[in-house]
Parts: sequence; C-alpha cells; structure tokens
Amino acid sequence: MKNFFNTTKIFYCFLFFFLIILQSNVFSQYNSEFNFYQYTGNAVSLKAEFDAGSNHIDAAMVNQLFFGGFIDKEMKDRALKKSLAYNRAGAYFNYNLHTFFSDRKHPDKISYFIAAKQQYLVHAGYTRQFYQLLFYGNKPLAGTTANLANTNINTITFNELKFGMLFKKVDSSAKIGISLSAIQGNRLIYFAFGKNSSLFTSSSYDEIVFNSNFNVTISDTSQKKWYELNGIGASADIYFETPYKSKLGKMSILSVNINNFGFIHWLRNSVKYSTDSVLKFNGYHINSIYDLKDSTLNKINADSTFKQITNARKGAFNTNIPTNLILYNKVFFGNMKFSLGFGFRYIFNANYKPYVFTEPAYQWDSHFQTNFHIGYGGYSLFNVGFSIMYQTSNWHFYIGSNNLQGWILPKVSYGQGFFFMISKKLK
Amino acid sequence: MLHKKILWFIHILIAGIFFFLISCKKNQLAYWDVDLVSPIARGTLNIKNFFGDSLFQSDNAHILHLKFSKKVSDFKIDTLVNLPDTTINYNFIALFTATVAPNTLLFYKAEEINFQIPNDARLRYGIVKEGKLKVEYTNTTRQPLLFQYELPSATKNSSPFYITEIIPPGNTPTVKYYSFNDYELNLTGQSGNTFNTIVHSFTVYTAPNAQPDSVIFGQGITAKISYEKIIPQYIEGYFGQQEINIPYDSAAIGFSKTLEVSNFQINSASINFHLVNDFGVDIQGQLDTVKSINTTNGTSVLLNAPPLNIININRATKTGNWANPVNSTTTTVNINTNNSNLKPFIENLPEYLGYKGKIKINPNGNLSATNDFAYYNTGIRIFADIDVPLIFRANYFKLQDLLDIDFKNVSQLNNVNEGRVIFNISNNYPFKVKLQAYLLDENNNTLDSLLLPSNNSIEMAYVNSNNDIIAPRNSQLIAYLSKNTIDNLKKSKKIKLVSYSYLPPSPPDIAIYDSYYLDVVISVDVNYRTIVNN
Repeated sequence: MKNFFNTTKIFYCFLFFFLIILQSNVFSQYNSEFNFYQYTGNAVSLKAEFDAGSNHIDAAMVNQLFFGGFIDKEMKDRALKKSLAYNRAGAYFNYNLHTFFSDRKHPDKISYFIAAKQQYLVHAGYTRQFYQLLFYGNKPLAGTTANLANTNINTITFNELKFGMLFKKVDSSAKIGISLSAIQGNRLIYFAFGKNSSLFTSSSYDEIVFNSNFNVTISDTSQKKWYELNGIGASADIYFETPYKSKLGKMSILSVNINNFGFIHWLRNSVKYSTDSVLKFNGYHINSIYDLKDSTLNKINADSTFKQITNARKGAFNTNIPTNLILYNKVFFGNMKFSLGFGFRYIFNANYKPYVFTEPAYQWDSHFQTNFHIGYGGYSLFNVGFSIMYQTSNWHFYIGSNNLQGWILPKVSYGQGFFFMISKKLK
Repeated sequence: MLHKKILWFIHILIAGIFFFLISCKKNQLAYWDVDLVSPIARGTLNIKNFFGDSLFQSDNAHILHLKFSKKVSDFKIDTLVNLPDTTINYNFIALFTATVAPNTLLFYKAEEINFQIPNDARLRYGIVKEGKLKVEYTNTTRQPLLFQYELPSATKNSSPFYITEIIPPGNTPTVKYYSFNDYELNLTGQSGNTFNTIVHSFTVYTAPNAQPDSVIFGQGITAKISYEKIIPQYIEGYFGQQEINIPYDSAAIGFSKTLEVSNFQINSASINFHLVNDFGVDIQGQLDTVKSINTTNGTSVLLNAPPLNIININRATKTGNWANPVNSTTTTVNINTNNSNLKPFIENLPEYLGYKGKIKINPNGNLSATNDFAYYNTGIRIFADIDVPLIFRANYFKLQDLLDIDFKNVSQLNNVNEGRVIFNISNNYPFKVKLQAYLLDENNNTLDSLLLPSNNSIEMAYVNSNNDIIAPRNSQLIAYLSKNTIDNLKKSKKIKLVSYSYLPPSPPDIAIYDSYYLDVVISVDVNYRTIVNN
C-alpha cells in the first residue's frame, strides 16, 4: 500500500514537472476571480495559485523551503552572493471554489458570484545580515554588528466566504464586479524589527549584545488547524473592465482589479510582544563550577528568554490584509487572434515590489489559447511564464506559470509558481 | 474524439496537480545547518566557591584561614536530672457493711509522695513544662462514688492541682488523664524541710446522684495514680554528684570528603574547644578521645592534647529574666601545634571529628547549698573552633565530585550536529590545574570524557620566588562535542569532575590570599540543525 502511494506520488510529481517543462499552459491569475469571467461565463470553478520568489534566493532554495529538504551551503552561498543590503522574499498560495450564475430576469446583465477561498501569504523584508544570521548563524558574523533594521516577517492565513455581483453591461459593454467577504482569520505571525535593531557577537564568543527594538504579534497559538477561528474580518473585491478603441490594434480592453481590501480583527487570545532595549548577555553568572548543571542549560530556553525580554500582552487587535492591485490593458490585433497585454501589479504592505509585465497571447482556434508572460518585479526579479487554455462548450481549463524560469533553471532564477483552474460551464 | 481525449488528459493533469500539492507540500521539513556561538556562563571563583563561603575567613594579612565552628556535643536538662515516672496504688475498702446515703464521706487520706531520684539529688522546687497524671479508677460498690484528689504541693496561679470525678460502679477500670502542664512543684513535703517530696490527699463520697444503699465489707474504690513523662521547665535543688559519659560519636566536617592531598603539610593550626555551661552546677569535663577521621584514606589520628584531660567548668548564674534566664559560663581550651599533635591531626584532612569523654557534676559536693538549677532546653554544649591558616606545602590536591545531571530533556541538544564548549580561564592561583569531566551512566560506568588529555590544563599564575602571585595567566580548555559525545551526554545521569591542582616546588610554603581567584568564561560554538515545519 505504501509503495503504491509512493509510486503514485512519484508519478504525479513527474507528470507535473514534465508538463511544466513542456510549457503546457497559459494565463496569469493574480488572485482574482472576476477577470476570468470573460472566458468561462457563468460556471463553477476550482482554482489554485502559488507564487514564491525572492530577489536573491533562487528557485532551488525556495523549493527546499516550501517543499522540504536540506538547504546546503552551496545553495545558501548562491543566495548570499546575490543578496543586497536589503532583500525581499514572499510567497502566496490560495485556492477557491467559486461560481458565477444568473437569474432568469437579467441573464445578460448581471451574474451573481459566490466563493469559498483560503489564502496563505508569507512575506519578508530583511537585511543581508539577517539572512546570514538565519541561514549561517552568528558565528560567521562574530566580531561584527549584524544590522537587522527594518527586517520583518509576516505570515497570514485566512478563509473567506465571498458574495458578489458582476454587472456585465454597464454603459453597454463595460463590466463592474463587486464582492464582499466574510473572513475567518486563522493564523497570523508578524515579526518586525525597528530601525535600531542589531546583534553584536564578540569575536571571542563571550558576549552578545542585542539591540532588541522589535514587535511580534501572534494569533492564538493553541488553535492552528485551518478551520479554527482566531479572528474575524471583512474585505471587498472591486473589478472594472471596459473595451475601448485605440490607435494601436483593433480593439483594447482595460481592466482594474482591487482585491483583499479589508481587515481582520484578531481575537483576544492573540499575543503581542514588544521590546526596545539593549540586551547584553555574557553568560549566566555562576558561583561554583557545580552550578554548571543541566539547570544552567535549561535556563537557555528560547521561549522563556523571549518572554523575559519582552512585554507580552494578550488582547485583540486589527490588521490590514495585504491588498492586491492589478491594472491590465489588452490590445487585440488583426483578426483578433493575437493580443498583447500590459499589466501592473502591486500588493500593499507585503514587501512587494511593483510588478510590470506583458503577455502576448494567441488564440489558435475556438478551443486553444496560449499566453506568454514576461515580467519584472514582485518578490523576484525577471519572470518568464507560459500558460495554456483549453475550452469546450461545457468545460474550461487553464494551467500555467508566471515563473517558469524557476522550474527550468532553479539555480540561477528567482521565482517559482503555478496556477490552474477547472471550470464547468453553466447553461 | 480528440476533444474527449484532451478532456481526459486535462482531468488527469488536474488530478496530478492536486496529488502533487498534497503529497509534496505537506509534512515536509526544510532544514539547514547554522553555526551558533554564545556565552553560556561566567564567574569569578575563589576557593570559597568550591568549599563553601562560611568555611573561610581572612586575617589582617589577607591570608585565608579555614575557620569554622562545629558543635561536637550537647547535653540537655534530662541528662542531668529528671523526675522519674512514679506510680502509686491506693485501695479504699469498707471495713464493715453499712447503709449510706448520697454525699456521705466514706474515705479520706493525706500523705507524701517521694520521687526516688538517684545520685543523692535533692530537689526543692520545679516547674512542669509538660506532664500527665494518669488515674485508673475501679468502683466495686453498687453506687457511683465521688472521688476528689488534691495536690497542695502543685499549684498553678496559686490554686492547687485538684481532681473531682464521679466513678460509676463496676469492675472495669475507668482511666482518666489530667494535664500537669505549667504547675509549680514544691518538693519540700508537708514539713517544708525535706526534698523530692510532694503532698497529696484523697476524699471519697457517695455520689450526689447515688441511691441509699449498703456498702458491703470489702467493697470500695481503687485508684492507680501515675505521674508520667514529667518534663521540667525549671528545676532547683542539689543535683548530686554524678558522672555522665559522653559516648563515642562523630561530627561531620564535610568539606574534605572529596579532597585528596599528596604530601600535605600545614604551617600552623589551632582548635579552641569551647564548653558552654547553662546549668547552675559546677562541672568537671574530660575529652579523652578526639580523633581526626579520613574515610577516603581510611586513616585516623588521635589528638594527644593534655589540656583536654581535666576541664573545670564553672556554674552558670541566673539573670532574673525569664525570657533569657541564664548567664552561661564558657570555658575555652586552646589546642595548638605546640601543646598537641594537632599538625598531623589536621594534615590527615578529617572528614569527621570523633570524640568521647565524660563530665562530672558537682565534683566538690553541694557547694551551692542546694541551689543548683537547670532550665528547660539549656545544657552543656561543646564546640570545636578550627582555625587553619592556608599556608601549606603539598605536591598536589585532587578534588573529585559527582554531580547529578539529566540532559535527556534539554531539547537544545537534539539538533546539535557537533560543537565545542570553550572555557577561557584566567588563573590567579599559584597552582596549575588539570581538569577532566567524565560522563557516567546510572550504574556509574564511564560513558565518555569531555576534555582531551592534551587540552585540559589551566596554567599556574605567574609567581615570584616566594610563590606569591605576580600576574594571572590565561588558558583555554575546549570540550569537543561530537555526535557521539552528545548522545552520551543525553544518556548520562552523573558527571564526575576530577581536578588535580599541582603546586609549585616549595619551600617556601604557599599562602592563599583572599585576592586570589579563577576567572571563568564558558562559551559554546555549535553546528546546529535548524528545522522548519512548513
């Protein structure tokens, strides 16, 4: 039985990578549902999206971080070599089941939208020395002061129930979509160093000085399962799409999408820690060699030390969800089979760099469409993607990646991602 | 047909992605190794930190002295004199048959009790701290009897001790206890000029609730009266001439249990035996056996000190203050290297002090005119004040000790791949130290050692020709923690620390000053596996 699962696992892993390598997919997603209505119409869809990247951690290392495995020195060295004074890394993963449907009164004008969605986002902005401390330890930095200023790490997981409407013929051809979400906050870890944070390790290893200017916010740690309620919140998605005539090409479509515009109120069992003091540790003071028992080592307990140096406070608090903005303009040429899209994406409060991209697409026939994707920014640097769409009268599929370079050349590229969606069209 | 195949293929593809996410993403750990360094502990240690702060004092020249006081013997009041448990039986029997009404006097008797106190002790007065009077009554008449018992010699707040009981008829004895606490005892009898004697009286009536009835010849009441466990708060009189043996016993000194010294020679030493007398009696003492016992070596040295053979101790006097009633007298006998063999006695490094002797009470008779006294919780105490200046010569000291450890649950160790514990030591003592730590299992089997023999020496401080320190010297000891050593550390239950301190060649003798120290900084340098659960 175990062998069977292992074989299956290997097979599917192989299949997945094989298909990725064959560049078998097309369209970008950007954490939005409205922008696919133009392809699926009213439908029931299952959608998932993963994207991870960094300006200096290559895809091979990101793979290890997210999918497990040993991160060796060679991998760490490559990332260190490419690191800047201040760096970024992030990943998001979300999946949902959603549907668009219409009533009999206004089937051409309004579609209603319902979705259940889970989102996971982790992002970090950090100094080179923080990276060194994290992946090499403090020994290589002995004799120096590691700069930790403005380093932050954030992880947020939440579940949403979305309700919305898509007005399909605003001013005859524009579309406006609005949805509201009820949010179940599941997990939050927010860790941020202030501008004065640093860590000094003496060259003789006999003193550590931690300028501990930091805040930590953690949701209820006793409830870690995905369905457990640690916070409640609300958010809104807004979508606008309009075709227009332009000098370039035969026709253009401009879309603006803002989603995850909201907040989460984390409940009372959440904990905040904060400290702003210089902590100097030069060893526990002993009065006898016999004091060096296990009790001394037991004192060096991360949890208790952390609690000792910080002001821990339990209580409720609010956080904003990283809001996602996408501007996209698509120009169709010739017989409308070829199009060229230009886009801009930004995620607010998420260590995200403005991301600009272009997507040439070709509609081969009524069933197939392929898209290329070239972009720069975001969590990684230069991205190349490919996606494919296939549809019939009843089904719509697409699958792709905006970061193919991470799968093909993991040791020299800095992004990783994939997405897919399967939709059953409604009559 | 083509579309069906494509649809089938896409479904397989989606399933593949789904399984990939489940099988590849979950329950996988990302892990990497980091090199961590940190200080662990530090301290400025001196000889007091190893043997106990209370054992050492500095003199005016800042030379440390091993100086401490041990109580070697203690006698309390009960050793000296006490009121023995005393039981007296009384039978009040009708000599003829008669009909009696309620409240009829049947019997009356008043007499003295003499406590039989040995050694010709003559007690005049006492106060009872604790004590009980036990009475077993048996009423063989057919009616209840009223029993009244009075002790005019025992008073509390000026009222005599008094019992009144109605004893029901029957052959089964009725047992009653009465507290005797805090009563003052006049032990001079009815005449007022005897000793060890109290006066009591009995009265027996028919009870007020009795029926008129006949008391038949041979019937009556028996009373068995016992004075039990009388503990005096204070006692006065003449305690007699008596010899009290101090049986052989030993007192732990407790500092040198794990210390061995090669060719140890001290410069000087002294022991002051202080004999503190809280009793109002003259005493003559003798400590005929005082032994230095070293169980590690199995050696003992008998102290040959003539001043300990006869020690005259004067009687204490009263202060008149009940809270602190005694002016104790202290007699000091000084034993030193001139009037005894104290040098080899101390050089034997005693773990225990063995002693035996005797004391003689009132060696010259009743000089106090029957005014000896003793208070509860006071007595005779013997202290040995030991003073050894730390000026000595020796080849080396070996110090060994076992410490209980349990690293099994120290989670920090689980992810350590390998490492080092670094001891940076500044030695300001005039000796070189070789150190080793052995890891032992629960059966004291050695599992591992922490220091390499080639790197376990703390070098001696720089000294001049007098063996006085000029400057401290730095050394670094490194304990290597291989994976195997870490495993052994987690398995071990005890750690055995063994140190050899090698002294410089002498003469001159080494003097240990209070300014000497050992500065220790302990750091770790470990390769640690960081594991992140996605």
